[in-house]
Amino acid sequence: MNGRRTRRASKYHPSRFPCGKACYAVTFSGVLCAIMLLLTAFLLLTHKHVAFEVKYLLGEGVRFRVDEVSLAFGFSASLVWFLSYLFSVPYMMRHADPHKDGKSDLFYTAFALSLIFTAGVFFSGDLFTAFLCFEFLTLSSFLLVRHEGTRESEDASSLYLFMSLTGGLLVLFGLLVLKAKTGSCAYEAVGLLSGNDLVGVTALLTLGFGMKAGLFGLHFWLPRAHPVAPSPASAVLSGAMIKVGIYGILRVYLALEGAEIQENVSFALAVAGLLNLWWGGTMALFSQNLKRILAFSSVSQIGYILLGISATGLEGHGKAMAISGTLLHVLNHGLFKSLLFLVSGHLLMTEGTVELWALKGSLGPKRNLWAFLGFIFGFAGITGIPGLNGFVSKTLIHDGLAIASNHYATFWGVVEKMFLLGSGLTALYFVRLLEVLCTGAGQRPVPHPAKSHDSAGKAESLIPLVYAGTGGLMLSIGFNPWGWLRILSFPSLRALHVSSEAVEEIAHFSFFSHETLSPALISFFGALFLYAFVRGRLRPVPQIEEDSLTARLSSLGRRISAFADTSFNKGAGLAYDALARAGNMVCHWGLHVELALQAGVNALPARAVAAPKIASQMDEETGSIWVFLFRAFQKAIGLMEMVEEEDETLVTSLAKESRILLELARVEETTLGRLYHAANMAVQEMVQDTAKIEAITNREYAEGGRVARALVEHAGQSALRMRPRVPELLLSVSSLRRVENLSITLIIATVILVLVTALALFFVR
Amino acid sequence: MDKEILGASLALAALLLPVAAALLSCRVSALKRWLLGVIIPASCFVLVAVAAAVTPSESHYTLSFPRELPPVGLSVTADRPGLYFGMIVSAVWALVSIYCAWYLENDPHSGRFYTASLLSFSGTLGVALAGDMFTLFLFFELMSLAAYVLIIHERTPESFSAGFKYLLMTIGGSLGLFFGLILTYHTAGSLSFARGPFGASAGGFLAFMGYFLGFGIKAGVFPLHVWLPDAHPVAPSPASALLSGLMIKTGAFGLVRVIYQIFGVEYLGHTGWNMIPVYLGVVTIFIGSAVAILQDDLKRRLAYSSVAQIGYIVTGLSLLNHRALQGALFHVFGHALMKASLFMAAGVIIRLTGRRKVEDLAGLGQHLPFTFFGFSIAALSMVGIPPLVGFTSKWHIAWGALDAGMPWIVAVLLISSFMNGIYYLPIVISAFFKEKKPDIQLEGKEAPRVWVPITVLAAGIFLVGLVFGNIPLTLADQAAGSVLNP
Repeated sequence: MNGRRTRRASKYHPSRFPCGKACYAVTFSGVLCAIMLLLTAFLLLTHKHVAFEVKYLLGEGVRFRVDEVSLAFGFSASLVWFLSYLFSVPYMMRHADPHKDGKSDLFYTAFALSLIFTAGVFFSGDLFTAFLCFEFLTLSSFLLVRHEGTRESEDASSLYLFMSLTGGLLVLFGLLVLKAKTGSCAYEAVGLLSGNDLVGVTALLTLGFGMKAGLFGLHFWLPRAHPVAPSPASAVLSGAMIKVGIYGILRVYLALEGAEIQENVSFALAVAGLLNLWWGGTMALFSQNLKRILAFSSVSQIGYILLGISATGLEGHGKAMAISGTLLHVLNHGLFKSLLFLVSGHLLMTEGTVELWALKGSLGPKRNLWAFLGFIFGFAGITGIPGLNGFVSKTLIHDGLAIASNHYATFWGVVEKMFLLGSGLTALYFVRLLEVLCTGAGQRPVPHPAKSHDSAGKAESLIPLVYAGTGGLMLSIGFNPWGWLRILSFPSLRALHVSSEAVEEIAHFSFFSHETLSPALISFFGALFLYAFVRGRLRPVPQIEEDSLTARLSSLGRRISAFADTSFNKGAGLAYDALARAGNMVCHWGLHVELALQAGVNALPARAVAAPKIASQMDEETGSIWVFLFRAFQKAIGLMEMVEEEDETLVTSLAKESRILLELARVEETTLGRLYHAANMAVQEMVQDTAKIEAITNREYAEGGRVARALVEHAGQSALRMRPRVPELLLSVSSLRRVENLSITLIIATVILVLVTALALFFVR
Repeated sequence: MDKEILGASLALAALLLPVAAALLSCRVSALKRWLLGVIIPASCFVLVAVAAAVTPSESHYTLSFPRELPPVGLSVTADRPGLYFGMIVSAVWALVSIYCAWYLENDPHSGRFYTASLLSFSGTLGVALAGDMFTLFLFFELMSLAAYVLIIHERTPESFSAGFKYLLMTIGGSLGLFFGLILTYHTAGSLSFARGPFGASAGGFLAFMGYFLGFGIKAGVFPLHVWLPDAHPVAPSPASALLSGLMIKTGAFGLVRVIYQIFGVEYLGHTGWNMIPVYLGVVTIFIGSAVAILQDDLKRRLAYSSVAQIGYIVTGLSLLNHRALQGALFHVFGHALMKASLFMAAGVIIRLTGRRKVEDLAGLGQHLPFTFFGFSIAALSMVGIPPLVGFTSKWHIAWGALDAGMPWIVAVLLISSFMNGIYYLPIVISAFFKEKKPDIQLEGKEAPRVWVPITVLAAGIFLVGLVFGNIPLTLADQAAGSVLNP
């Protein structure tokens, strides 16, 4: 196995142009993308209709039909595919793992096949053909999702496969009922049904296609499958392939024209659209991985498109608005979402990660100008800043909903308000992305510009071209929506029997008036304002992905941090205990010291000075351990970050380092133990000291007692000495002739004497 | 009329040929027995195909020999269902026989296997071409007993216990069948495929249940399937391919004869007994698929998958309408191709790696390209990915279920397709995308005798589904029409 690998590796150097089978595959898919783009553009511009049938194929015959609506979808898809293809050449050369480089032929084959079958669904003449291409698309795009071969991609691709198969089976069920009841598989035949059949078939087909589109409730595979594919594949998956589901839903919806349940389907689609919009947006706001955010953003953007479809049931002006908005948003979402996914691929190439916390400040005009510009364009497009494409289609859909609210005010009014708030939500999570990616210093050194002499470097000059091309298209849609609508949606409008007045009205619709600009700007600046308040809560935090490699390291890191935590707690507890006891001792001690001072003992003041010193020393040492443990924790996080490199040698050194860390932490624990021991010793010393002090104090007490007794004796003796002189005093008092006065004087004197004695006792103590 | 006689004579020749060859093969060497085993089914295929080409599609002509085995006599027919089933049997048998030579290369007892295989081939073909219930019963017994030799060929203790179980259940089934025959003969005085002998007689239900017991055990309908998952894994892989791909279909084919040509659509539609096989078929589909998911032994998983697929066929043929019957008959063809291909591929894997567990197949796709190509095509077809044959038969059975006003059966079919995906797709994915386990060593390579039959079957699965679907589909259509509208 290893021998084979090294041979492979030497044969296909990562930065050489792929040769052998891969070369054919690259050329084939490039030529195919170019041909599809030219063909759809040609058909779109010349208003050609194509329809043909291959009879007897599969017994039923396979029918294809190219009409206005399918061309609008097909053109968007081909454009996205072509741009992603251009990006994929340098991406696959630079990013692809040398061991797996031989697989890039598989990637390009699957890439091309996915385009063929996506176009196959768009150009299918009936539901049977659509189902056929839908199943093939499931298999070929499964290869794209699975390409990286990591554990995550295995799980996500299996989920994707089974969910998509389930979607296909739901479509098949609906198709069978349709065929059995009407004898035809055409999209239009859905309108011929009635009663329960109509409800059942509509539900089955919508849910089946909704599985592919990421309809709310059936979307859970999408944020898992899209991020694990290689970035160009994510771009086509998110930018174009989910539109397969949208196309099916739109076709079924259009076939319901005039049926009794059309209005209910509208309501249901509007509710689903709002759920998509809000759920996708909320999840994107709190996700920590760039590609995951973009995938959730796709769920949210599908919500806009579903809302657009739900409003196409209107008559005249509103219908024209809604259809134009839907078709244009399909193209727009394809453009800006693929652009953003390509930027994420670019970051993966230069930074090696798409985790948000590690990408802080990774985009900047000096760092990587083109990716920065690409992101800014994508940002402005998706948040609906006037002058770029997203604004135009969102305005059209919003106006469609606003017109609907003239008819059924309560429901559609609420939907319209929620739509505006939802677009504010979109702005909110993209402002967060903007702040994270484009502010602050990058965490890694500025990547070297590609060397122009190797072929990967040459291929990398395609990247600015892709960004510039996509950005240019977005600008041209943003500034000249009328021209694009004329090409993209007016033929469809005419084919769908919208009155020519309504078409004319859109042709002269003023996109940059007060009525259209104010909701867009209010929701954008509202989001900006709100962001200022909530940004603290939205900071990206490192998330440890449950990859098999990182899982082990993360568990190691978690163990280290848990150990650090417990040792810290233990150490802090011990130190606290020691401090508390020391404090107690000091209190006692201080009391005694006071006594000792009073008694005039010399040894005690020296102790009193030493005690706080010991305490502060202990404090210092605890602090240093604190700092050490904190650093160990930081180091563990740093290690996690380096795991992104997925380099085996690094991983082993990492494991070694982690082990050293553990070792150190263990040593620190013993230090703590020693400290505790020292504290204990100190305490014991103090206890001994205290005993001494107590002894001294006792002595002092005794001495004080003696002094007091002496004083009392002294007082007694003075009193005794005074007694012989009492008659004299009495005589002198009687001379005053106030016996009462004498006795009062005596009492006062006694009291004064007692007080003096007490004071003396007190002071002597 | 001449053409009908010619067709029936050709069918008789096709029937006698393997019986004679089986008797002859006792006297020749193992290599010649293998050659006979390939050439005889191939020439039978030619004979039956020519018979199908010359007889008009609505023919029910029966060549009778009332003096042989009195009082009932033997008879051979060249009607559409018989010829259709006969063509499938002989074509697939010839392909699997090619593979036998590789599988039994160093086996000292291979001669016994070839003879038993020829005998069971004549039995299976006889079931297809029998002109009345009695002849069908005779050949059915011949096939059942000869198949026992195939099952115990490896002579391990497991194979003996599985073979004993098979033998007991087969004899029980024969008794049920015999009971049905007696009741039929008592009521109608004849065992020919003439519709509606029962009228309002009370024995009808008992006879129906007797037939259902006999054919249901062979087909493996729940709860009579218990011998099947034991017997298939212990038999040598070519025998498993024949058992699963062709022999258990005789049960389904017998049910077609019983339901449409002994009882008749009106009678069963009136009494509603056909719902018994419908419900049991649905239960079989679910039980088979669900248990297959739980198996980690490759051949056991395939065996349970056969149980589920028989559920499709039995459900389809009991719905009593043209489209469902056409789908069921087409699935007899499709499943024969798929399951023969799968079991042969499983045999290659087990023989070359010595492993039987599903998880040991990881990464073998690049090392055994033809085997896994055939396996993957057949597995995708089982899941019902268009344009493979599995999709076509499901499409028709589902359509027939809607015609019968039972859309819930469509849901059952689709859920079961999903379950098929759960137990087949991970095998395919891990074979092509995962790394091989380091301790698995491949002993030898894929010989031409391995990859030719597997590739032919895989190509058949793909091309018949995509382009030539109308040939077997038309034949199934004519067969369905022939038994529905005399």
